[in-house]
Amino acid sequence: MIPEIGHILLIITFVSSFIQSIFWIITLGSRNTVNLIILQKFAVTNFILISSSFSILLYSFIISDFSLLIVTNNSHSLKPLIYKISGLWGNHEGSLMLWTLILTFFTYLISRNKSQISFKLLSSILGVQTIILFSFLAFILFTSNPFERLETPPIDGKGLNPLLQDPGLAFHPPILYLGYVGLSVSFSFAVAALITGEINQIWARQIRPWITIAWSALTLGIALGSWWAYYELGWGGWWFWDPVENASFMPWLIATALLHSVRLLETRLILVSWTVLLAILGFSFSLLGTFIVRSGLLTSVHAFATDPSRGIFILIILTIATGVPLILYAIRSSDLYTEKKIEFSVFSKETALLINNLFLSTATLTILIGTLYPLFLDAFNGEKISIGPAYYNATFAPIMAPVILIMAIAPFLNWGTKINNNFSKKILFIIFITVLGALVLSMIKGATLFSIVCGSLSIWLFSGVLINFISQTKLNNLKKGEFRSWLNQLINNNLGMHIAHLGVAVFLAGITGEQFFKTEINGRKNIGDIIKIGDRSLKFDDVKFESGPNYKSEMAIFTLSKNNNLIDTLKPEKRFYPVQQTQTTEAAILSEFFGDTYLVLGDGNKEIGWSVRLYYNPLVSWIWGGACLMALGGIISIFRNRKTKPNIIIRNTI
Amino acid sequence: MSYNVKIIKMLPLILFFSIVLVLGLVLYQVKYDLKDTKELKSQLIGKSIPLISIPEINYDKKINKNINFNDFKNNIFAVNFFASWCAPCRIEAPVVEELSKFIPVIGIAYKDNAEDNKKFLNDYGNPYDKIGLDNLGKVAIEWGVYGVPETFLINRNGIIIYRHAGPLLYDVYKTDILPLLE
Amino acid sequence: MITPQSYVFADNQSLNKDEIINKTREISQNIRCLVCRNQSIDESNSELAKDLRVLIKGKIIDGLSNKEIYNYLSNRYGDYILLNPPFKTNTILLWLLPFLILISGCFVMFKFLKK
Repeated sequence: MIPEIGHILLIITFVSSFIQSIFWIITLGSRNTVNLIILQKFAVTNFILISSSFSILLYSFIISDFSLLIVTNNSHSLKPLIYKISGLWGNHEGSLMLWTLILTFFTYLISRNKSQISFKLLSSILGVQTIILFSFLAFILFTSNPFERLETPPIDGKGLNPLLQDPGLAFHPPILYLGYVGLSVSFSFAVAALITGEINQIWARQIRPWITIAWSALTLGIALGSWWAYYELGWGGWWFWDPVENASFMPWLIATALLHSVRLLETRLILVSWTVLLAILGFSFSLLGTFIVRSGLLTSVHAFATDPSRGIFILIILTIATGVPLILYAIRSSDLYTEKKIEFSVFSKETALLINNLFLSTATLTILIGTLYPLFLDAFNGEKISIGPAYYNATFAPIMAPVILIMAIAPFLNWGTKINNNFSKKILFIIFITVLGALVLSMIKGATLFSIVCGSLSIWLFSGVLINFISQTKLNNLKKGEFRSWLNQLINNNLGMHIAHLGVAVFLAGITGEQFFKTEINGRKNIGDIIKIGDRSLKFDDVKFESGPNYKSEMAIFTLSKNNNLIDTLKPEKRFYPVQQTQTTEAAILSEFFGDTYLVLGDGNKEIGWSVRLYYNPLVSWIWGGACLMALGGIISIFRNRKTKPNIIIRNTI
Repeated sequence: MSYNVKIIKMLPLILFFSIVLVLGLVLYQVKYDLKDTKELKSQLIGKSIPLISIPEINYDKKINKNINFNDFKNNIFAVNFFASWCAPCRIEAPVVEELSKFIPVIGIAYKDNAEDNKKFLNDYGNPYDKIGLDNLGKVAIEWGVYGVPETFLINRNGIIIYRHAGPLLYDVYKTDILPLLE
Repeated sequence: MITPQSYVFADNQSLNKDEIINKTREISQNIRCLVCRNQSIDESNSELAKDLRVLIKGKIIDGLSNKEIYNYLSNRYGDYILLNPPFKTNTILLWLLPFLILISGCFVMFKFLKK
């Protein structure tokens, strides 16, 4: 009975979101503020209804109610509680439920906005959010009902895919969805701006935290997914340019561009229509990503169970959700706001941010081309090609390199025409450090041209960020005193941006180490064998057979030591999950500041030994550390308060 | 000038709709099975048989020799990669049997051992005129085979004219192979 | 068998064991595992991937160049097997579009800056 209540709640929300959308469209031209209050009330009820429905589904997962198809397919009574819960969103239907939950939550947050944002803009934002909610509820109810019952419930569930039974993956989807749905908010802001004709600095100020939340969440989500691939898939890679990875990376790149263009809009009121376009496209790329993952057109390791009819539904949502705003954009964006001529020199923040946007959007399109090209070629003449990392190394990497170059110096530059006094002095200093760093790099054994370029870019950015941070904090003469006020001053001095940029530098250092200086040892080893890694030695001690909660394991025990001093014990495993009849390899990883020792156990037995793969990945954890710094920087910058008051408000009402 | 600006504003829309159109087209083809997106076209069609020698398994006489394709010259014949451990090969066995009534079929046992292979042929019938052994999978690579079973048709001039990957089901046999034999 | 006899022993003395392994891995990383989902044969443990690695190693010992090995494989399995798509008529757009977009983007930006 309880699941039926959840289903009915979904249907009620579906019907009411339809009525709400109609209500919004009818009241579009009205000047009555009561309409906004009604829309705000709707936002609260939608959130309550969806969260109740979601809780009911969650409850079914927790009590393992196998009369529900979704629970049977994705859960098992023996599974630890945390994976019973994460089983909810580890599948197509449940993940859509999570998606709508976040959507209604965010809509509720916007509806509580009590700032200077005009009531017309706010009601349009809420209206667009409601239409998005309506279309996703239609998608859930017509193609992917999570509350589908089984006539004869089985005794136990089919369990979650063992590959997905993992803490990294348990939290990867929710965080990623925060990002995708966050982009729906900036999308609604953009569409509302096109409808009402209101776009100004208040708009920019209001949209920015949402973009930042979405961007930070996407950063964390993608990093978590890549970290999972690194330790779970067992071949030491962390990014494969797989269509599904690209699907989340494209919205991230767009969000990055948007984050920077909205800054231009906010301070200088230029790039108005471009920013609107990016805000629309950010969400379109999220939807396109959903389409790629769920339609099954581009198969991949991570894909959900696929079904063409779902693909068609998402394609329809994508067409309407992007097509209508783009038509509006084509008609309306020119008269949104006539940009005043502003003067800025070539060496100004404006130019730097423009270049940033140009390269980031080109990079996004490059990934789009790489992802869809095989599909298109196959559709036109049936020829099949594959696009692997080599393509992206040759196209994406050189397009991103200038972005890094400019990232280090852009924060030094001033707005407008005034050129920073010490600009050339500082640049020379950074160049000096970078050249020094490049020289040191070139002396490392195994250094190649690409490794030196990549490493130097990291050093370039490191020194740029640090020097900029130091000079800016000195410039503003921080008053010492209470910690909070001190921290506030730092935050208002772009602490968030500095940390995020530092994160990119750390990330690049990680890539340099992992891509160019990793070592690998493959071989058949038996108990008692010793493998040398640099000045350390790894001894094969034993193999044990053990039983886990829902698997059987073959575990090898290795001890890593240096000069006979034990450093750590590594226990790579092979696990067999009887319920799914699948085997997984669990790599043993010793993660240290300067690098990871990564050990994988292959097939074998006592007679012939076991095949063993060993990697030493220098600085690899910096990749995820850098991503975490970026996300942290994003979160900090949300708390930045802007004292400057908006000076220009433009209204072109319909 | 203002006209130009308009075109630029239309550009995202045009690009977007063309992408969606193609995606829709592909999806339509997949949904209604108009196109098999999974199967790879063979590169060997229109080319002559690869020149790799294949040791022949002979269960009656113990003679070590290679399969001689010249024995089938001036004849349409089929080459069928199979294995005793391969489940789909069991499914296609009756269809291969049917095919062997019209043209000679050469079987190539992929990564198989003679004993299992013999048992397989006893259980599911032996439609093959000759059986070659590909222990190391080298022959399969030379023929561009990526999984068993795969079936090739070779014409009178020794040119490969058709390849089917996966189990040879009766309707494939009827729609694809029979017309080629006539 | 396909390669002329003169190739067979041409170059095998000049490479030591490590170089052969490194070269095999370098090529393997650019060869798609046809029976897997989006993996190179270097990462895959499937039978076909193992056979192809052995084959590539053999070809390297025989003294074939990387290009000859890629050609050998694409002649049998098509360009689909190459993870690094070759520059051909059907991939011109794939390779050139990113840079065309960048150039036209620069052009538009310059116009914008002039204004």
